[in-house]
Amino acid sequence: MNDIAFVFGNVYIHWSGIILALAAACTMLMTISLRVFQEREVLSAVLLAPLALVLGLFFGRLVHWYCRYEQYEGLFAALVKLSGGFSLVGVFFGCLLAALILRLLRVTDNLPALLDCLAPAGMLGIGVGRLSALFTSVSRGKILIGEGFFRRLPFAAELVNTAGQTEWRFAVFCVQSIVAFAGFAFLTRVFYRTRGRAMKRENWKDGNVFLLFLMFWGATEVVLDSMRYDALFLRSNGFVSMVQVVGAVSLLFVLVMYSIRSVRANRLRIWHFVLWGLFLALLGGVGYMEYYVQRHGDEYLLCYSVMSMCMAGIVAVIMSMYRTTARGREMRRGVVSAAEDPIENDSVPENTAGKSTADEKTVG
Amino acid sequence: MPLALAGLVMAGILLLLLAVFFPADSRAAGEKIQPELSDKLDMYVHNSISNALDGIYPIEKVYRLSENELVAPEPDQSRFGSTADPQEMQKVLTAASEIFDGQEFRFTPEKALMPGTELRYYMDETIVALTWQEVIQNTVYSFSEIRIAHPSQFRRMFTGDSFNSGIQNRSSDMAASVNAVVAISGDFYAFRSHGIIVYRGELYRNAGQYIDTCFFDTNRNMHFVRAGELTREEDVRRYLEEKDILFSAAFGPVLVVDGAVSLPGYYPIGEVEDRYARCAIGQYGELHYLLATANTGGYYTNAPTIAELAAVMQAQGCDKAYTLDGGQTATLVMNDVRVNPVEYGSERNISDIIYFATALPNIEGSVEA
Repeated sequence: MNDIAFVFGNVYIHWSGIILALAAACTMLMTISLRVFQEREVLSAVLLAPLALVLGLFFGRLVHWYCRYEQYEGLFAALVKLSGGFSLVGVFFGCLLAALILRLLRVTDNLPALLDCLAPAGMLGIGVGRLSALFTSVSRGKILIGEGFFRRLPFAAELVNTAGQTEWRFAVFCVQSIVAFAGFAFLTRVFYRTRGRAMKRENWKDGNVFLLFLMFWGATEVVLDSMRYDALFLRSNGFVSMVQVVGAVSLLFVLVMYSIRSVRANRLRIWHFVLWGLFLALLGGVGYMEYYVQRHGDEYLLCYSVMSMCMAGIVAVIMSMYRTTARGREMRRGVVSAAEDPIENDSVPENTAGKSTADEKTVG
Repeated sequence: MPLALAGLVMAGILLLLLAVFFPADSRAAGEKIQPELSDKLDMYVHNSISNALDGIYPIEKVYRLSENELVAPEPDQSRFGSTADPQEMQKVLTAASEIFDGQEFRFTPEKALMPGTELRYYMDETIVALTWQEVIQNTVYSFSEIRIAHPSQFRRMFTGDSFNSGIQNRSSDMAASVNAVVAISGDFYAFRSHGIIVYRGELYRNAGQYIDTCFFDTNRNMHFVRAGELTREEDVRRYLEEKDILFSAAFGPVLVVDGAVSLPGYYPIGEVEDRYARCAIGQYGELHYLLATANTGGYYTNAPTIAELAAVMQAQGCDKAYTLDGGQTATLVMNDVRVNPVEYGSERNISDIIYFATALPNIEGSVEA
C-alpha cells in the first residue's frame, strides 16, 4: 500500500513522498530560523540544508540496505534505486556528518551551536515525516486492536493486509509523531529559554539542546520501536532492533557527557555513583522488559508500561545530571550575580539581544 | 519559527493546486485490478465444470486453488469436529477414508491421546485434517495428519506476501488471514541469512552452505538438499527447474529419508543437542503429510533433542521428515486456534507459515448445476 497523490504522465508521486519532502523542508527552514536567532548568521544553516539532505538520504538508504539487504539486488542498486526504505538512524548520521563537514571547512567555528539548531528542527521533521505512514503500511504495531473505542487514530490505524482483509493495528507512527511534536516543543523551549543558562566552570553552554534531543529520541524510540511489526534488525540478531541499540547508546552517551561535566564542576561525589547505578538498573529493567514482551507477547500492556516507567526514570537521571552542570539555581536565588561571579566570564552567557542573563529569569 | 510556518503554509497551498490540476488514479500503487485474471478464470471454469458435470458423467470432481492467490476459500465451520470417543474416532476415520477412495490414515483410535485432549478434525471433499496430542517420553507432541485432494492445497505464506517484507506476525493470525484449515510455523527465514529460499517458484536467497534445505515441487513432494550440496547459483537454478520447485523451507536438519532416520553429525543452528521445543513436517506419501510440534506442558517437562524428534517422526511412519524452526516459534494452528502449548505461553511473531486449505469453493461462489 502506497497511495498515489499525483500523476504526471508515467510518473507517480506518492503521498508518503510528499509528506517526507515536507518534513525535510520544515527541518531546513526551522534550522535556518533558529540559526538566525542564535548567531544572526544564515550561511552555515543554508549550506547545511542541501548537504544534510544528500548525506541523510545516502546513509539512510545505506543503513536500510544493511538491515534489509535481501530486498535489494545489491548495494549499488540499493543506492541508485528510487523505491525502497530509509533508516532514520542513517539520516541522523548523514546530518551529523554534514554539520561536521561544515565545521571542518570552517564555515562555522561552533559545531555544538549548529547542532543545537538542528536538534529541534530535526524533531519537527520527524513529527511531520512520521505522518507519511498514513499512506503506507509501515510503522504499525504488533498489537491488533479489537472492536471498540480504540479503533481510531491516534490509537489504531486501518490496514489492508496481504490477504485483502482489513485489520486495525496499533498506530505506532501516530504515537511517534505526537511524541516527536512534544519533543519539538520541549527542545524549542530549551533552546530559547535555557540555552542561555549559566553553566558551571569550564562547561559549554552550547550542545545541550542537541544532547537533550538525543536523550528524548533515545528514550522514546527504545519503547516505540519495540512495538513495531516491521522494525529493522541488525544482521544475525532478531531480538533487539537497530533503533533500540542506537537509542540505548545515545542515552549512555548523553549520560557520559553530562557525567564528565558534572564531575568536572562538582568533583566526584557519592550521588554520581547513585545516579550511575540507577541508570544501569533502569536500563537493565528496560532490557528485561523487552525480552519479556518478546516471550510473552500477550502481556504487552504490563511490559510497555514498565518499560516506559524505566525510561522515564532514565530521563530523570540524565536531567538530574544535567542540572548539576548548570548554575541556574544560584542565579535564581540571587546568591551569585553574573557580574560578581568569580568564575571566568566565558561561562556567563549573554543572549543575542544583548541583555545579561542575570536580568532574566532562568529556568531551574 | 515564522520561517517554518511559512514553509508549511506554502507547501500546503502547492499541494492543493497540484491535487486540483493533477488528480491521481484512485487505485493505490501496486494494487491489482485484475489479479492474475487468466489464472482465476481458469480455476473458476475448472471448478464450475466439475460442479456442472456432477451426476452427469462419472468424472470425479476435482477442485483446485490458484497458486497465485494467497487466500483460500473459507472452510465450512460445520465440518470441524472433535471427539474423545474411540468409536466416534473410527467413524471419522471411515468417513475420511471413503473421501480418499479407501486410502488409510496413520492415526488410529488405539492411540493414547494426552489426557484431557480430543481428536480434532476437519473433513470435506478436498481435505481431511486430523489433529491430536500424545505424550511421548514425557513430551507433549501435537500432530496433524493431513490428506489433500490437490497439491495446490498445500501452501506457503510469507508475511507481506513477499520475501523479506520485514513484517512479523503470529502464526495463528497468519493462518486466519488465509483461511487455513491447519497451519504450522515455518522456518522463520527472516531471522537468519542461511538457506536456499524459494517462494512462488522464484529464488530469493542462495546460501545453502551451512544448512539443509527442504524443497517442495509443484506436486508438493519433498526434496532434500544437504548443507553444501548446492552452492553455485547456476546449479541451484538448474535444480529448481529440473525438479519444478515451487517453494522451500530452510531450517533443518533433515530427519527422515526413505523411512529411516538420517541425521547429520553436526548442525550449526537449532541447538540440536539440547532439549528444546521442536517443529517438523513429514510426508507419508502422495498428498499425505504430518505436521508435528514437541513442547513441554503441565506435568510433561521433557523437551526433545533432534535425535529424539527424528525417532518420533520415523515411528509415526513418515517416509520423509524435516525440521522447522523450534523454540517459541513452534506453533501448530487448527481453525485459527493454537493447538500446542507454546513456549512461554504465547506465540512469537514470525515471518512465515506452511498451511493446508480446502479447495472447496465457498457456497456463494459455487455454480448451481
